[in-house]
Amino acid sequence: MTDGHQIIEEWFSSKSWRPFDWQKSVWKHCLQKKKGLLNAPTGSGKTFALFMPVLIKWINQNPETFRQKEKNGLQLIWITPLRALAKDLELKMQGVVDDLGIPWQIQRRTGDVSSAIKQKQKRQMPEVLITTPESLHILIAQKKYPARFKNLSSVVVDEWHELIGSKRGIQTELGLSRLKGMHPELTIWGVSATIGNLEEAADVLHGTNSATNKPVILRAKNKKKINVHSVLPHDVETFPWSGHLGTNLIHKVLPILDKSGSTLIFTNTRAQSEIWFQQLLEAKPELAGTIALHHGSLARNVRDWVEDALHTGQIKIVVCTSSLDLGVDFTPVDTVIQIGSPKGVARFIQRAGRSGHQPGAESTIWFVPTHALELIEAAALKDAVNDKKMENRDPILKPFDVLIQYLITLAVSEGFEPDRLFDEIKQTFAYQTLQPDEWNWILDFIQTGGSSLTRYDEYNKVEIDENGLWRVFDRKIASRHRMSIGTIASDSMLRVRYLKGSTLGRVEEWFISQLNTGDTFWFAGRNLELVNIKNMTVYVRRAKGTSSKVPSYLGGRMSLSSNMSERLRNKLQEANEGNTFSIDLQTIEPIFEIQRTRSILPDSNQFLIEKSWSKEGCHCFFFPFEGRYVHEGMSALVAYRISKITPITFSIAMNDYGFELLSDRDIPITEALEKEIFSEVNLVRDIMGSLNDAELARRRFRGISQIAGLVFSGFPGNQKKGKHLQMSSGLFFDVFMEYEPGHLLIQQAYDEVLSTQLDEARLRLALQRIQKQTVIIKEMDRFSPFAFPIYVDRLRERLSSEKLIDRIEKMQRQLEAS
Amino acid sequence: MTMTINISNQTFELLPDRAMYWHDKNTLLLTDLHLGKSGHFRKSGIAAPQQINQVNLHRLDTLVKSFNPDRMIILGDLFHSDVNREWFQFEEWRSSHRNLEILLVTGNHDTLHTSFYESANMDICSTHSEAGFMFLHDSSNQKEIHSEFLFSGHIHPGVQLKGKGRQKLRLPCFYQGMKQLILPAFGEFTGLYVLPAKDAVTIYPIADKKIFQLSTV
Repeated sequence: MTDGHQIIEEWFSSKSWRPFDWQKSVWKHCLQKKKGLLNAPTGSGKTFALFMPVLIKWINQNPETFRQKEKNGLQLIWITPLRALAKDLELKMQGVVDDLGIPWQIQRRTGDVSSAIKQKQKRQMPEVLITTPESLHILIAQKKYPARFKNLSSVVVDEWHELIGSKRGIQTELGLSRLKGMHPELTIWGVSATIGNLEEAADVLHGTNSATNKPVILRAKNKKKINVHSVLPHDVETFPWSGHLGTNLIHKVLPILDKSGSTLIFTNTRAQSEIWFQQLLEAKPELAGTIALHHGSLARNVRDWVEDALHTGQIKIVVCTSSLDLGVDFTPVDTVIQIGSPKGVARFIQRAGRSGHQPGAESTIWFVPTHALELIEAAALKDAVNDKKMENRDPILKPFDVLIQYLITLAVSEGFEPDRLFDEIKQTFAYQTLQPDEWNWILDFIQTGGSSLTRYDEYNKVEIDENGLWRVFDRKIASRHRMSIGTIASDSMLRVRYLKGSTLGRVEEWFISQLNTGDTFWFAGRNLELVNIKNMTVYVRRAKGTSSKVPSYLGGRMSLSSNMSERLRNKLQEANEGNTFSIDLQTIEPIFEIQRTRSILPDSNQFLIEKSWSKEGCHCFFFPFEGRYVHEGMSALVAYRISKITPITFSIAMNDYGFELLSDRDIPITEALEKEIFSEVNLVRDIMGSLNDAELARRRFRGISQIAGLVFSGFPGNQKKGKHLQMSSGLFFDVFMEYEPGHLLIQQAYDEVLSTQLDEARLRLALQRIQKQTVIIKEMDRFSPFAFPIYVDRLRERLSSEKLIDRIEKMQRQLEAS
Repeated sequence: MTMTINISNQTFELLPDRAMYWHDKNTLLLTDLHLGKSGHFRKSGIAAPQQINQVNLHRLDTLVKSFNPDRMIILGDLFHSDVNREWFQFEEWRSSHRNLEILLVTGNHDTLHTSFYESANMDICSTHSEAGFMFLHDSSNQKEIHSEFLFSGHIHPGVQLKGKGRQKLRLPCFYQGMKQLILPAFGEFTGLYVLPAKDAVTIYPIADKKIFQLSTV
C-alpha cells in the first residue's frame, strides 16, 4: 500500500468509516490513469470515490512536502450541471483536505460566485475547481487560459446523465476536447445515474478514440429498496376520465402526510404545484407554516430558503416540480408523493430516491393518478421499479450553433488555427461526422458573415492575425460574447416584485399580458394584486381573498417516454388477458368494461380507431399508445395523407394514449386505410409537408440563434445599451429563410424539429409496429373512455389543404361575424 | 392589388409594398425603412443577411419608377443607427433620382448628423402639416385631440387573425383609427407589433401582394 493509500484509509478510520470495495476499485483505475464512467446515484459516496485518488496521487508524488506545498495550481476540475450541488461538493472536499492538513484550496467557479473571487482565481487558481460546463467555457474565453490549466491532471464530470442529452453536454464535450488538446494524458471520469445506454454515455464523454482505448465502466453497489404505493380512488366509476390536476384525491393524500415525516410532493408543472399548495392549505389550514412551495420560476433566494428549511426540518412538506429532482439530499425526507404521470421511469425512480437518506432507510413513493387511465401507468411503474430498466439519454449530434459559439470563445481568448482545431473537434463524439464543407461554411460564417456580396459590407467578427491564428480583435464583440456564453433561451420572463422591493420570481410575459391593473393572481403561494408593469418588472402587492388565476407556463406538456409507452401497452395486454394480480388494473377494470361495451379493449395485435359524430363534426380517434411527441408527428402525417385523397381540413388533438382528427365533414377513414396512411415510405417528406414545419423550426431557432450569437439580449442591468442590436430570433429566421435558405443554422432548426421534437426514429418504429397490427374501426354513438380525455383535453393544431388566401377570407368572415 | 381609400376628400392608394400613394399631391408616403440595419448588425459581428439593404432599395426604386411621384414623405426611421457604409448605398440610389423631392419627418432612429441628410438632398422636420393633415413619426404621445388627421409610423403595426381551431396569422397592416392612420413599416427585417383590432376603425392587412379590409365597427 502506498503512503497515499494509507493516509486516506486512516482518514476513513478516523471517521469510523470504511471505503466501499467499489470506491477502492475506482481509486485503483484512476491511479492507473484509466478513464471511465462511474455509475452511481447521488448520496452513494461518489465524491470520495473520485476525489481520493487525486489526493493519493498527490501525496505519493510529494511524500515529504504534501502538507507544506501551497499554490500548486489547478489539479482537478470537477464539472457539475447544477450550481446548487457545487457548494455541497466544495464543503465536502475542503473538509477532507483540512482534516489531512493538506493546504489545498477547493473553490467554485459558477455563475453565482462573486467577481472578486473570479478575479483572484485569474491570478491564482485553486487546486480544485468546481464548475459548470458554461463556466468552463468562460474560463477558456479568457486571455492566457492555457497557463491556468498548466498543472491539470484530472477532470470529473458529475451527473453526466443530466448533461448528455442537452447542448450543455456538447459544451462539456468541446471543453474536454480542448483540455485534452493541452494535456493528452488527462485522467477523465464521468459519473452517471443509471440510464439505458451507459456504455454509449461513456463513449460520448470520452470521444472517438475510445474505440481503441475503451473506457472502464464501474458500478457503485446500492441496494436501497423502493416502496411504491398508489393512491386508489374509492369508486373508479365516478373518478374523472380526464384531467390533470388530481386534487380530487386530496382527502386521500392528507392521511399520508400525517403518517409521514418530511414529504416532497412532485407535480409536473409549476401551475399544478401552485394549485396543490393552495388546495392543501384550504383542506387543512393547520399546515400553514410547515408547508412550502418550490418551483423554477421562484426567485433564487426563496428557493434557497425552502431548501434550508427542509434540511433543518423546519418545513415538513414541500410542493415542488422538477426543480427538486436534482440537488443535495434532504435527510429528513422519508416520503415522496408523485401527482400524475411522471412520464418516464427514470424520473419516477429519481424522485423516489429523494426519500430515505437516513442510514438503512428505504425510499417510499406514492403515486396519485389524476384520471382513471393513469392507473394503468401506476401498474407499469411498479414493474419498472422492480426491473429498473431505464430510458436512454440520447446524445445530440453535430449542433452547429454550439460549435460556432465555441469557435468564437477560442477566438476571443488565444485564437485558433483551423486545421489543428478541426482534428481536435473531430475527436469528440458529437462532431465526429463533421464534414469539411460544413467546417468551411462555419469558418466562412464567422469570418465573413456569409460570403460578401457588396462592397458596402463591413462584417466584422473573426480576423486572421499574422501568425494565421483566427481571433476576435473588437473588444465590444468579445465582451458581448463572454456575456452571452451560457445564456439559456427562454421566453421573455418578467420579474414579479413587491412594491416594497423584494423579488418573488418570474412569470412569462404572455400570462401577464392577459391581466389588467388591479387583477389578482396566485403566484409563489400568495394571492397578489397587479399594481403596474415597468421595465420588465411586474409590481404587486398582497391581495385579500382568493383568486382563481394561476400563471400557466409554456412547455409544460411532457411526453411519455418510449420505455413507459411500451410498459403501458404491456399492461393493457395484461388487462386484456384477464386474471391480473395488479391492484391498479383491478381497480380500473370497471372503466375497461365500459370501453369493451362501447368499443373494444385492443390487444397487442389490434390497432383501434373510433369514429363518431358530434355537433362539431366527424371525429376519428386513433390509439397508438406511443406518447404525445410521437402522436404529434403521427397525427399530422395521417391528416396530411388523408387530405391528399380529398380536400379536407382537420383539427388535431392528442394525449399520451392517442390522437383525434376532427373535421366538419365525413372523414373517409376506410378509403384512407387502403392508401397505407401508416406507411413509413416518404415519411420525412410527408411529415415536413404536413406540419407547419416552418413554424416549428422557427420556434427551435429561438435557442439556436441565441447560442450562435445572433440574438443579443443586452448587458445585464443595462438593457438600453445595445438596443439597436436587439432583434427577435423569429425575424432572423424569416430573413434567413428568404435570403439564405441554405443557412446551416436554419437546417439545424429543421433537423431539431425532426429529431428532437417529432422524434422521427421513434415515429418510424411506431409505424412499423402498427403495420403489423390489424386495424379495427369502430363506429361509435358516444365517446369511449379512451377517446373522451382526448376530446376534452384538446390542444388544437391545425392542418389545412385549403389555400392561404381562402383561409384568410374565411377567417375574415369569422372576424366580421363575431 | 392595391386599394384606394378616401380621407377628407383626398384619394390615397394603399400599396401591398407597405407604402401609400397620395394621388392629389403625386406623393409617395412611407415609413420605417430602417436602412442600414443589417449593416449595423454585421459591423457588430452579427451575421444578418446582407442582401436586405439592397432589397429595400430595390423595392423603393420599383415604387418610384412605377408612380413617378414628385415627392416622397418618409415618416421617420429612415436609417437604423450610426452611420455605416449602407448609407452610401442609399446616397448612390438618391443621386439617380435627383428630381424627386424627399421630406423626412424624423423619428427616434434618425440620429445621424444633419449634414448627412443635407448631402442626400433631403428636407427634414419633426412634424409636417399640409391639406388638413399632420405627418409625424410617433402619434402615441399626442395627448391632445388634433383637428388634423394624423399620418404616422413608428409602431410597425400588425394584426393577428384568428380562425377556428387555433389558426393564427400575423400580417402587417395599415391601421386606421378615428382620426389617424398608422402606416406599416416599409423596411424588410423590421418586425411587427400586433395592435388590438378592436381599437381600430378599419384595418387593412397585407397578404400575398394583396390588401384586405377589415372593419370593426
